[in-house]
Amino acid sequence: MASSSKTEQKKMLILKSSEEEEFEIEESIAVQSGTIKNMVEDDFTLIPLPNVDTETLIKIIKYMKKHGEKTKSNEKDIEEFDKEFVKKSFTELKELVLAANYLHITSLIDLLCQAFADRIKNKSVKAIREIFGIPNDFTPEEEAEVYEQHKWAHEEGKEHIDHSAY
Amino acid sequence: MDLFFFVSCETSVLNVFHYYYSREIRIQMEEEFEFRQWDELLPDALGLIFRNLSLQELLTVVPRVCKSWEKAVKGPYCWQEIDIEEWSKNRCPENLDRMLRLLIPRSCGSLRKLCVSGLSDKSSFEFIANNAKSLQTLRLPKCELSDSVVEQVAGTFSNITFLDVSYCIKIGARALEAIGKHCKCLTGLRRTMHPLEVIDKLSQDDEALAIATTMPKLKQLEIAYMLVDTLSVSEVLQNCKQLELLDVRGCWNVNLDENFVKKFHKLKVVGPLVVDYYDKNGWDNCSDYSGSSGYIPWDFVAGDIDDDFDDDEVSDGYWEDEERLEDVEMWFYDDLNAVDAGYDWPQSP
Repeated sequence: MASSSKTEQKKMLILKSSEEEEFEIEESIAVQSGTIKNMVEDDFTLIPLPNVDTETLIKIIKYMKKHGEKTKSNEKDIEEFDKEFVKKSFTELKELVLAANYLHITSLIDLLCQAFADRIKNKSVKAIREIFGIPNDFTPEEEAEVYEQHKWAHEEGKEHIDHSAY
Repeated sequence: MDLFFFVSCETSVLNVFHYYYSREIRIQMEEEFEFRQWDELLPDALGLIFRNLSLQELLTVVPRVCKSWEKAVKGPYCWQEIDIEEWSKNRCPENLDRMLRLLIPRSCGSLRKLCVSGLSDKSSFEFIANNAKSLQTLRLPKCELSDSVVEQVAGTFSNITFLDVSYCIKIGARALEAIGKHCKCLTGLRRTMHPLEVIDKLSQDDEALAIATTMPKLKQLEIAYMLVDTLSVSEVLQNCKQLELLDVRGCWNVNLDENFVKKFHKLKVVGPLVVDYYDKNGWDNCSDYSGSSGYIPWDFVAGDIDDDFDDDEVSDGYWEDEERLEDVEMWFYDDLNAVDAGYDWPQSP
């Protein structure tokens, strides 16, 4: 029966990194993470995240906060943010995608995967291995065989000219 | 004394050896740990990364990086959406068939979207039908299949929500009827024609009527350059009450009364006047394109008609909970002076 409007108490959560550092965040923002959402539904307010280190968690919180305030008018702004967000070192991106995967933040996973794809595009096999730190477990013969298998798909080029129509 | 000396030498050599050896092991372990972290991502996140790469890279570069990647790129996560529209232009039917039989099985029955141009082989089409029960979006521009083939196979595509049969000159009202009858979930149809393709047809009103009678759930209908008139299009509007977008650009015999159109509150009609434009509301387009506006269709005849009337695919939406419309491809041709169509279209996840 109070006529004055109360300021709504926003429900806060605490996220704890693997290094035991704690961060307060609004629940409405944190539930962009499917994993956190599930825990909230099980009545957790302190959310331990043993798979996410502090540095990565800070970045993820920054991302969620920005995307939490998404409206129709600030789409461009968020696009810019995303563009800048992925301008990170390869190692940082890797930590982020592992964490985003663990936390089930779909939009962030998509953003990061696109960023990775951009770094793979038009690169040689060797360059990709270096970038990702992946050891080559193919013998030269095996690798050649893999290449031969699908060479046909891109060798022919436009060999079938349709003269029938026009 | 000599023995002692010998032994201590051995020991220090061994120590040095041991140090370097274990350093090697440490580095190797670190690399393996890093790699194992990637293993954790397999297969779904890797699949998400790979999905953004070109077909050529997926077939010839990615699988050569390492055995795990070779395995991941063969798996379903990369191939739930198969878009070989670009690649398939002007390929011979044998190779097209070969590619479909290579890629579709990789989706392991979870194929949601398939885009292929110029399909002419009936057995390829049957192969698609037999392996794509979960298909939601099917784009078959310039396919050369006939009404009877479509009639035979339409029943297997019952889950389709968006179908593109643009520039398919061998099908008509019969095929559309069969599709309408079997694809009860269809909400988007694209049947853009090319002015020259319809030049020897008298009318395609029967197609519009087939759409009107069999596709009541349509939200999006693109029939640019079809030979239809006001009457048959009005039938469509009367029967497809959920229509939100109607593209009749180039349908010069369509003169819809403004007041009539206003009755359909959700409806937006584009055309018949052909103008390149960008609508910020529904469908998103790459604003880098600065092609000419208000072109007259005679430009087609004057210019190079090779395969220039193909549309540039804009980012393709897919049905989310909000049921976003498939993005309309707002231009039909590569303008000769336009920026090279080498855009990196972001693909939908």
